[in-house]
Amino acid sequence: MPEKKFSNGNKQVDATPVKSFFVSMLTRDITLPYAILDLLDNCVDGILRTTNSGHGNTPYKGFKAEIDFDKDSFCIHDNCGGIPWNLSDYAFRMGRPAGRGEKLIGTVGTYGIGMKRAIFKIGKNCSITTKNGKDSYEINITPKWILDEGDWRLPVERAKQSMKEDGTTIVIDKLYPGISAQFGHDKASFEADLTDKIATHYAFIIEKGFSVYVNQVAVKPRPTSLLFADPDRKTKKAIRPFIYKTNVDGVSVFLTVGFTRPIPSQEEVQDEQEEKKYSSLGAGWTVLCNDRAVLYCDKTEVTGWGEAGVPNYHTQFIAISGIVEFISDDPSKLPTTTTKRGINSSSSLYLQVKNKMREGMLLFTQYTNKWKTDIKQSKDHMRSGRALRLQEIKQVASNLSFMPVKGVIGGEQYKPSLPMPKPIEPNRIRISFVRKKHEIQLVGTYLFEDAEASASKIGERCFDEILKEAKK
Amino acid sequence: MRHPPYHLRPNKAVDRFLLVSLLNVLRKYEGVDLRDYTYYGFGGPFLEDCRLLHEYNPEIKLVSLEHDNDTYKRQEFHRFSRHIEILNNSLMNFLTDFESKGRDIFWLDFTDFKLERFNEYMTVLNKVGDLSIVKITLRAQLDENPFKREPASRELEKDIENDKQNYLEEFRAKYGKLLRRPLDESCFSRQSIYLQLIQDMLRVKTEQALPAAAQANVFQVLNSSFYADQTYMLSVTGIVCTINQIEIIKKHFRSWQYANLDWKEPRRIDVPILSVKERLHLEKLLPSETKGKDLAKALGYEIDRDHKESQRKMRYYNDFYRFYPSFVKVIF
Ligand SMILES: Nc1ncnc2c1ncn2[C@@H]1O[C@H](COP(=O)(O)OP(=O)(O)OP(=O)(O)O)[C@@H](O)[C@H]1O
Ligand SMILES: [Mg+2]
Repeated sequence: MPEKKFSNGNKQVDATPVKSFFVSMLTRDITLPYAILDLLDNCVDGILRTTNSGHGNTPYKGFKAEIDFDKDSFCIHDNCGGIPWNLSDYAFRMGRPAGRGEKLIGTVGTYGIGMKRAIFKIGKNCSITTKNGKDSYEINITPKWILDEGDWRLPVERAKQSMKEDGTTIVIDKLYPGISAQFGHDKASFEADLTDKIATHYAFIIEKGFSVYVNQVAVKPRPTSLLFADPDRKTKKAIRPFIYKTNVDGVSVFLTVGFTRPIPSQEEVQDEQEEKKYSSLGAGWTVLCNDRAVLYCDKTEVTGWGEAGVPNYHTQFIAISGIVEFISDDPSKLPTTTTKRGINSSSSLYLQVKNKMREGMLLFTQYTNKWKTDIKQSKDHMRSGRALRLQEIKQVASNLSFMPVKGVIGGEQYKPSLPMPKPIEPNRIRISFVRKKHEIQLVGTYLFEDAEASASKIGERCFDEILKEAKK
Repeated sequence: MRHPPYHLRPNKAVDRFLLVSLLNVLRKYEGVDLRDYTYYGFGGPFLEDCRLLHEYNPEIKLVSLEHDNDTYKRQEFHRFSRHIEILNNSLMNFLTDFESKGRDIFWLDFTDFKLERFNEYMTVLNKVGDLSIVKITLRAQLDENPFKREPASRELEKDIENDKQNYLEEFRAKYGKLLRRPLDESCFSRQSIYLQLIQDMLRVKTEQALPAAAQANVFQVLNSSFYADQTYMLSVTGIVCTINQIEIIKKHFRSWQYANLDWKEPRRIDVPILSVKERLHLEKLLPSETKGKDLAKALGYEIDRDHKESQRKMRYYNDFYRFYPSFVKVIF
């Protein structure tokens, strides 16, 4: 082949990466709390590397991460095993070189970018100190290094301070102004935001024994639990979640959807819309990849709402919540985005599973629609329900009879039969009307000596009283 | 519309005076002219806050907001100046059309505690210009709740445990986005921790409304007080300013006796109820050199439950005597 020559005489073009690209571009794809969650992900990966197992009820017990920040600096300190020296050549590179043959089970680290992206997002100066068995070393990233386009090597030093346990400490300072504002002036709201993200995305991991502290305060997990009627007995018609499970190409999937609470009355729906009382906070789908929530309480098409017969999310569905869990020894098979806080919605596995999510969800939207006019009766159905966490549902599931599912991803499912109302008599008609609040309170006080009596209760009583009169 | 007996609320009166005192410090801030300011408040039937402000700072324009029609009429009846603007409008309606002309002083003097209140507060913060003062008062009374209940028997213990979980769950569902830390038992069993919780929620909401990261206006807290005339109330006051002004503002207000510039614990206001005769008797000892100890002795009798309590009250009296309401003057 004839050699191609360009007018300037060069035979090659420069394709070396530009450091500032990593520093300023990559960091834009992720928000600050999620960048910090990436650091926590690494802690959990570290635990798995140390214990070589994520099994059992509390595989993460005894391990912790402490996050501290103020306007000048950020620090995360963990006791999760440290970064082994043989990994160090990889750990600090931007991206994961092909053929890096670390055999690790059930982690989420995939792209080789999380830690660096978080550091570059936060500040210009960073020291990473780590101890793994006999290896104990420190690596410093300085503002000078960040500016130097030519130098891609980082000096390693023997750790200045000896660490008691195996673990890692990352300290970042020379914070970027926007970050310093969030850690300093806006500290309380950032603490609120970060704590909320950890409590939800890490709910299942914290439940399994991991501890996370934000500025010295332990984060409490907020896992979803679903109502399960008589879990120990065989019942015909009862409020129980829908369950589906399968195992495809090295990924095991467990899906369950149901009610977290009684369905709301019309008044509750209205209150929520006026932001007065209830909140949709806990409704929607949570998607877990190797224990980490990549999506929390999602109420959009991403999780099947408003698609293929499933209605759009609406406050009347406040009681419906679902969890899908993907577990794989090979994290690259998980249907998640590079930031790991979102679903790769073109993943064919996810699209298949989503069919099942919609199928399960439909049972509960239909139930809600059918019973919304008879909340009282529906509350009775819920009464015998026990709120079960994901782990408990899995245990109970082992005693249920599952039906095999045909199709590409196969698997089996448990479809509860929910109580269904008799069709409403055609000669019944709903009355609703609007009156001044203080007038309703007045009538409420008159009828029930209770100004706060519910409007529908007052309306019904008024009608019943007049009906009695009329019948006389 | 029924109103609480105003003349039995000496602590509230002190809180009102705190605003006057703050404006006196603000007045001396470089570039501030109180003539540029308009005060917006919920004067209540007697327009006490407007009246007080008018007395001390007649140059401030006054607007009273009242959504209840009868109270509004009653305010008109108590109008003390042609210049005060009395509006029969709800806060949210008012805010929708509100355009700040110059600088503002808002006192969101609420009597309840609701999510809506936080949102109204946020709207105000977003609408006022720099060097405006925003004060918000919320009910901070720890109500009856499962954390305060003692189980009467073993069986009940389980029920109460359940109730507790539901209570936390409901609170979190409503206010989750405003919680700086995870909720725990003490939040709802101890008044002081509950107050701190509410102050934290206000702080979170403040930062959400005016994030420093946005590099526009921010809020610098100036005072945080609580008191219980009948129910516990928390009152937080601050100034909206640019982030560059913060250090100068802090320096300016640091010497103000009632300053709280770092969201520290709210300060208690708990003044004793004293007669005019008693107050005149104490005058010569004020300000007290012994943090009120001498005041507690001076009368020759206890003004409260026991000596300790009397002494405590006198300490507050010493802190706030200049703000002690003289009802004789107000009620006519
Ligand atoms: N605190 C820690 N404890 C143990 N190992 C760590 C810690 N922090 C980082 N590591 C290890 O350092 C390596 C680099 O981490 P980094 O987050 O940059 O990439 P990754 O986890 O492989 O991929 P991803 O970009 O998907 O997160 C990983 O092998 C990670 O497990
Ligand atoms: Mg990682």
